[in-house]
Amino acid sequence: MTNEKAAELFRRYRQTGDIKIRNELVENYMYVAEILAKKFAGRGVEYDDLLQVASEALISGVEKFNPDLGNQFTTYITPTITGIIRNYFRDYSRSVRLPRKLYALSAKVRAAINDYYRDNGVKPTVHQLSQILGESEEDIIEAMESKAPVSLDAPVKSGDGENDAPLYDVIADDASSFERFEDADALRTEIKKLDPTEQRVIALRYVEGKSQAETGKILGVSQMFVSRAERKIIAKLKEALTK
Amino acid sequence: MKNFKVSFCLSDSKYFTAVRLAVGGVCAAADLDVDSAEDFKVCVTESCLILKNCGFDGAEITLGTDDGLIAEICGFDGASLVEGQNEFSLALISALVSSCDIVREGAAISKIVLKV
Repeated sequence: MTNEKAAELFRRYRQTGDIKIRNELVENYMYVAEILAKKFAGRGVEYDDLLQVASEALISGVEKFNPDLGNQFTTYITPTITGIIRNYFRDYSRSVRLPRKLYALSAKVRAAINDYYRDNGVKPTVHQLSQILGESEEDIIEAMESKAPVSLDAPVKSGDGENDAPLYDVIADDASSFERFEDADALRTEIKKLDPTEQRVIALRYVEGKSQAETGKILGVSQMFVSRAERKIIAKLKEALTK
Repeated sequence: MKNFKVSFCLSDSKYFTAVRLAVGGVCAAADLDVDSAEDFKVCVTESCLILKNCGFDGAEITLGTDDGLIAEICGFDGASLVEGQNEFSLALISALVSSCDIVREGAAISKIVLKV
């Protein structure tokens, strides 16, 4: 469909509200929704869910677009759909907002755990955290379950201080934290000593660049479980390499 | 401490946070450090997912601290039970707790007992 024909259809739709015209326009621009859904797929939300969200945004965009304001529809709808998808990611990551008090206590708990570990070499118990922070054990337990909401739009420091990127651009990035290890041969040797399941986690996360959620899906376990397993494996490798 | 029981529907993932809170409370009562408590919470919720994979609709978790910290996770209301793909989950659970015993009904896992 040419831009002129599309503009004409938009005008006719605005005049008549004819659903058939709207649907013809939606079908014509569905490729935009598909491209944007694919761009954001594989980051913890299914492609089909993203396509549905993008399609709803497309329909809404078609219904509101005015061709006489001077923009092409694709110029108008692309940032609109992108924004809707980002909002969906935000809502998907946490459907319940944390009370401010709980959020503040959660941060205090994390800091207290780190301080205690630094001073004593072991992690504290809930009872000890309760004494340190002067809060009830129930509140400490609840705060420990409350992870701070993270926006996928939040900038992630690049290191050079200039090219900060949003979080969703760096999730499952190819960059490997194993680059910190200087002796790659020693690392390879230690990885071979891991059991097959642990090697599979490492391969998926650091060779294939899968996110924890993707790795969990492939292995049939939860993202949280992959996170714990990964932490254990890395600790094991670090210990072996620093002996 | 008397045993503490939680029974819930496996189909609704929002109950898992409630389960983690309950398990976290018992871990605190057992005076586990925060890392060990997190490992145990993950193992209990993962055990629930194993039962779900095997076809159970609900799970009952019994937590006790008489002989170390013990969690028994039993499936119930399973219409058509299957074996499920749980090797990886079980291997990792075994790595995180002191002992992990499983009970099967046919090929399906129907009960998991975790101990720290």
